[in-house]
Amino acid sequence: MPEPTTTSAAAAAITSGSSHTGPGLAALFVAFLGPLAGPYALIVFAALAGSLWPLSGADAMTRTAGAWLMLRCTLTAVVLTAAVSNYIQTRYEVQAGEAFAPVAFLIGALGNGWRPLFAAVTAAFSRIIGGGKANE
Amino acid sequence: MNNTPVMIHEALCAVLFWSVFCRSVKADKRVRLSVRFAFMCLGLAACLGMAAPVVWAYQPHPVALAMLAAFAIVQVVTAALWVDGPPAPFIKFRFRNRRRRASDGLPMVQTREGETC
Repeated sequence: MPEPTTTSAAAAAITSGSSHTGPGLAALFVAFLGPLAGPYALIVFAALAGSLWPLSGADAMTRTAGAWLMLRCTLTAVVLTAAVSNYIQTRYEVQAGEAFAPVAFLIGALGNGWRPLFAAVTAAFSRIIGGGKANE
Repeated sequence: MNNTPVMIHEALCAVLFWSVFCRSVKADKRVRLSVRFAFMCLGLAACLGMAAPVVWAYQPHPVALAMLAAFAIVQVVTAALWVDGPPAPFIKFRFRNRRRRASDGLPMVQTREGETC
């Protein structure tokens, strides 16, 4: 994962002994959770926001079941976001650090929709393979 | 270090997020898309608000805090409308329980004393 700008800001706040209010919290997080606290906080909050969409579309459920759904979406985003962002960086020349929030948001918003996604990908592959065979 | 404004900001954002979460739990596909989208935007704003002091060293302005507090109060007060699920106007028309009109010739539902709907 590339060095995020947030870590530098927090580290600067620690070393300079800044009296601002914001860096205090950021510095606290970095001190407790390490230099990647900022990007991971961003990923978690973006995924939480994204998971509100599948939650609001699911059949009425209890708060516990809703919390589990959000946790599942968020953890999926935490696992996949860095890899997807790095892929985007190599493919489209977008900085991975800038892609964290939108990617995590989209993964969170996907929610339980992975099965249709995989079905679409499989169908696309089938078409490609089928088309390739037809051309031979 | 005076972290009080940041803590107030975080608490208000958490209240906003919790209110959106509780409404989203009670919502389902019968709820109008615009309503679901609006609440998701509110949740997104609350999440960004919670992340901002940690990620971007954001320092809330008193005016921003006042607006945030107003939003939170509105959400808390209007939570009473969601006790029995999404309010009727938020539900897509085809899923609504249509109320009878006096001209239907069917017995009308008694809601309050002397009032029918």
